[in-house]
Order: sequence, then structure tokens, then C-alpha cells
Amino acid sequence: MKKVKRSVRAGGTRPSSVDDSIASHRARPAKHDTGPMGEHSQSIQSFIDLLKQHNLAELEFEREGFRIRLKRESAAGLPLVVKSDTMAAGGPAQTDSQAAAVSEQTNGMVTITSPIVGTFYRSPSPDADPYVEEGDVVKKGQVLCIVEAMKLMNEIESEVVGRVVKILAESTKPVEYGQPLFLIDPSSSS
Amino acid sequence: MSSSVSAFQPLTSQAITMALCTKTLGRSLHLLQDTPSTNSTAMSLAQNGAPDGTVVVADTQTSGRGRLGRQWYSPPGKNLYCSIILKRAMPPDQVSGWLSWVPLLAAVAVARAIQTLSGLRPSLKWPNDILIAQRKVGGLLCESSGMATANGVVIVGIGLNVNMWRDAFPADLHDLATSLSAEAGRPFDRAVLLAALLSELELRYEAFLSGIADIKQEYGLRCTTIGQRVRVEMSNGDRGNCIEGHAVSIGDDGSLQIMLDDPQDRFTCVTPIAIRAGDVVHLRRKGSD
Repeated sequence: MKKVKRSVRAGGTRPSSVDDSIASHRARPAKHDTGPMGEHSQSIQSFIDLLKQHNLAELEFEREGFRIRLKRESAAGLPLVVKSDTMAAGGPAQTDSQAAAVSEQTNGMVTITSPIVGTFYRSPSPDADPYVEEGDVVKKGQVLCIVEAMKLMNEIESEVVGRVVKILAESTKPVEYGQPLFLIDPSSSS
Repeated sequence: MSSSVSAFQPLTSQAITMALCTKTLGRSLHLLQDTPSTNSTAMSLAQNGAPDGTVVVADTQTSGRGRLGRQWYSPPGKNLYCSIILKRAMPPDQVSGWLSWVPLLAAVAVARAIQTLSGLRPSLKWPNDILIAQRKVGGLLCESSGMATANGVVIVGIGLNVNMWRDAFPADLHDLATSLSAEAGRPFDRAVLLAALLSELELRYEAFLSGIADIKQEYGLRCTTIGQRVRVEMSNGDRGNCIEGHAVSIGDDGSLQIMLDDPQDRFTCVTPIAIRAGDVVHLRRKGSD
């Protein structure tokens, strides 16, 4: 099964999205599996759909010796706006709609996400040119943006060679932990 | 202790090394007569293999900078401009907390070093402006790079006004800036000051990494922003994109918690919002003008 999404992060835990934490680790092997899980692959997908559809954090199902427990590491559905201590560093706040929106577009793409809650800047200073524009080819290790928190300017680099297909955040606006910032197409590098 | 004889001596590696009592910080030392920016030099050195704890110090910076590329006034022979390289392989789930607290614990360390040497008691304006009598005596600019890799690096840049008399500041800084000598009435030895702040930083940094330091509490005691009415300009002086409110506390991630004057919804009526980036201005109390 083709990997549909790869997330690259400048530190921080992997973003919790349905695609990564559930589909890749549980449903994907089932397709070629002749064991007890194999026959349930359709069911598993329907459970994933159910989880997404109702924006649930956890789902457990048991019947006739078959038990499945799906859990998202993120409490999707938290508001995107930065509010109060509940959004402290490390507190994931990626919404389901974001995750879904990205995974639909990211076939073969690399998503660069924010490792921290902070403010997103496309250039090193307000008067400077942006680090990158959509359509630019970037090198591995090239700085794409800055995310600032507590007056620490955190440079976020590309982990791949590729073309910047889409810039997903607006400069000078707050971004959340795990929020997708750039879509990069590694197959388009010339 | 600083003496008036050594205070105006040029900075030398020998003087710094003699004063140093750290294990790691400053044991690799690059002393430059001038450099565009100690932070830029340190980042370049770090990316080319300079070890953890390396310190870059310059007598003057030709393009000293603050947040968002703003100029940091850096005349020669008087002040302290230094950058410290911190490298550490950090579990991914701890990177965010590490990045959040390093700028704050570094500010506490600088304030503590100043207090020890001068008897003055600096306070901190969130996140890390160092104030004496409500004027800025120093500031920090931290930068990080490569945090997604095993070669992640944080640069802690520190600029301190040391031996500048108040009339030596440019006119636009007169009411905003001060120096240690202006406040204490005597000059300070920059090598001793650098050694002291590296010691204070190393102490807190190691304690923070081992999880035994209550940086939040120590920071809270120093932070003069707490309890004040503030305006936060969310991005580059954009008055249209600013909020006003009452700073009530420091969040677990070092953010500034503010109760809004004009709550946006039911949620912000009763719950503070967390600020992680922006220019904080301390306002006078309503009706005190």
C-alpha cells in the first residue's frame, strides 16, 4: 500500500492524524494479512471513517472474538485559537478538518508541520524577502520559515529536496503544534 | 569583583578564562574584535561543528540585531555582546518545552548575575527584556535550527549595556535604555560579568535538563509584567493587530497569560489567553494619566 502521507517535523512528536497513527499502523498491514485481522480490513476502515466523521478521540469495538480499539493521540476538535493553559506546549491542537484537508492533497507529498505553538514568519524580518515562494525548488536543510515562541526564533528546514507546492499558513499569524505549514513535492525538484 | 582599573580594559580571552568557573559554557571561546552579529557567527560555528557550550563574544557588532531583524545598538569597548551555543540530543516530545523555557531561564540567569555583581535588582519584561528601574539594560534573542535532526542547536544571544553613560545613548533610546554603570554609578569588568552570567546560566540549564529546577517560579518572581496592564502587538508593531488586557500569570510553557479588556467571546470572559510571541508594552493603569 502506498504511503499517502509523510510528515516531517522540526522536533516534537509526530503529529497525530488519522492517516498516520491509525491507518498506517493498523489498517495497512491488514490488506495483505491472512491472519485474523485480514478479513476485518473493511470493518477497520469503516471504524476509522466513523472516528473521523464524529470527531472522536477513541473508539473500542468487540464482537465474536474480534476486538479493535482505535485511539487518536490528538484531541482533535480543540479550538484552533490559542487560548489558556490547555494549549500549553506539547498540547496538540490539530483539527480534524486540517488533517483531512492535508491528507487529500498530499499524495506523495511531504508535509512540513510546526514543532511548536508560536507565530509563523515567512521572512527573517518584515522588510526581507520570504525564505521561499510557492513553486520554488528547495534543498534539504534549506530554511523555509521561522516559528517564534517566547522570543526564540525557530528556523524550520526542509528535510527533502523538492518543490514547494503550497504554503499552508499565513505569515505573522499564530500556528499550532503539528499544524501543516508547507507541502513539498519531492518528485519535482528541477 | 570588578575594579575601576580593569573595567575599561579591552576584553581578552585570558581575562575571561581566568574569571570562568563553569564546566562547559565558555570553555570553547571565540573572542572577536567585531562581527556583524554574534548570533549569526555562533550559528555558523555551530553548524560547522563547534561543540556544546561554545561562546562567541565580540567587542562590537556591526549589524547587531534584535527580534525580527531590528537593530541592536552595539558600540565598541563598552558593552557585552555574546552568544552561547547549546546542543543537545533531545527526545522529540521534549523539544517544545526545551525551546520554550531556554529564553526565559537565560533571562533569569542574566538578571541573577547582574544582581550578584552590582547589588541592583533587575526585573524581566516578558519574555526576556532585562530592566532596571523600568529601563532596558539588556535583551536576549534566541535562535534555533535543525531541531528535526540530531544536530539541533539553540543559540542564546545576549546584549547588555554595561559601561555606557546615559548621555551616550542615541536620543531615541534615552528614556528607554540604561546601563549597569549608569544605574550603579561605577563601571564593571565585562570579563567578570560574562563569567558570572555563564555560571548562572549553566547552573539553571543543567537543573532544568535534570528536571529539578523550578524555573517557572524563579521566572515569575522576576517578571515585572505579571500584574500589569499590557498591550501586546502581535506582529511587528501592527497596532491594528494588538490586544490589551491584564497580565495574570505565566503558563506552564512560559507563555504570558492575559485576561482581555474586551473579551472576544464567552470563553475569554473567564479564561486568560496565552501569548507566545509579540511585543509587550506595559501600560499605565487606567485613569492614572
